[in-house]
Amino acid sequence: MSEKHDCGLMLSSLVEYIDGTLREEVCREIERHLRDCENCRVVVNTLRKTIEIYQVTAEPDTLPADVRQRLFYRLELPNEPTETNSALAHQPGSLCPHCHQARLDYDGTLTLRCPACGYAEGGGCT
Amino acid sequence: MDKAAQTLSLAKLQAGDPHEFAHFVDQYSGSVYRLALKMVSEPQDAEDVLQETFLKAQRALPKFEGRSSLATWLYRIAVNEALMVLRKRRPDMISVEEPDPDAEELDEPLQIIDWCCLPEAELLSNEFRQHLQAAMQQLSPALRAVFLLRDIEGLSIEETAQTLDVSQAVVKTRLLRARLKLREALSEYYKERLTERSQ
Repeated sequence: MSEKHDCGLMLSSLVEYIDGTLREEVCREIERHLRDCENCRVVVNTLRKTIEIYQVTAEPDTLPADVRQRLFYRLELPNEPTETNSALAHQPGSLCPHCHQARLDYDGTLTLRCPACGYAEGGGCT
Repeated sequence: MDKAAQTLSLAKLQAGDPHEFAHFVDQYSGSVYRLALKMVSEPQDAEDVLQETFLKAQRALPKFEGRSSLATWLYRIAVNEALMVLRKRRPDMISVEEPDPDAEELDEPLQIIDWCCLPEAELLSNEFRQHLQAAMQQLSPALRAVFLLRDIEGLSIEETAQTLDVSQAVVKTRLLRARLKLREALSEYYKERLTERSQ
C-alpha cells in the first residue's frame, strides 16, 4: 500500500524530478523510493532517454535555402545571403532538409537529391 | 533565443526597418520552421505556417507591448497557425482545446522494459526516425505543442505557459502526459526489437 503510494508520488512529481526543479525533501523521498522500486527506476531512466533521443534526433534549426528564399520573397524583404545559405549546407548523406525522411545523395548530375521526396540541391551539369 | 533577441533593435523592428526585420527572420525562422514541421508533419504545410507566422508578426510588431519575449510571442503565433492548419485538415477532430487533454486520467506506464543501454547506432536508422515521427504525430496537438516547446525548443515551463496561454500547472500535466506517451511508444518499439533478437 505504502509502495503504491510512493509510485503515485513519483509519477505525479515526475516532470519536476526529471527537470531538477523538485523541492529537496520530496526529491529525497523519491530517490529513496527509486532505490527500492525497480519498475519506477526503469520508467525514470527510459523517460529521460526518450527526451534525450528526441533532442538528439531533432533537425537543426537552420532553414533550408529554398524555404528561406520563398519566405523572404513573400515578406518582400531584401534577400541578403547569410553564412548558412551562401553555400550549400548539405553533403551526401545529410538528412533531407525538406522531408527529413531520407538521406541526400548525388543523382549522377552533381545534384544532391532526396530519394524520398525528390528535393534537389545544387547541380552543375547543363 | 533570448540571447539572439538582445542584438535586435525593437525600435527599428517596430518602425518597419526591412533590414532589421530580415535579421529577425534569420534569427527565428529556423526554430519556427522546425516547430511547424513537427506540429503539422507535411513540409508544404510547415512552410505555409512559417510564412503566415512571419507575415502576422510583420503586421503586429508595431503593437508588440513586450509583455513576453519576442521569441515567446512569435512561438505563440506559430502554434496558433499550426493549429489552424490542423483544424482545416480535420475540422471534426481538432480545436485549440479539444479533445481536452487535461480531463483524462493519467496513463500509468505499462511497458516496463529497460532499453536504455541499446546501441546508439539504432538512433540513426531511417526506420527508427520514422517511428519517432509517428509517435509524435499520435500525440494530440495540445500535448505535442507542449513537448515541442519545452523539450525541443528549450522554453521554460513559464515561457511555454505564456506561449500557449495556459497555466504552468496545465503545462506540467500535459508535459507529463506527452513524455509518458512517447516513452510508451518507444518502449513498444524496443520491445519488438528485443523480441526479434531473442528469437
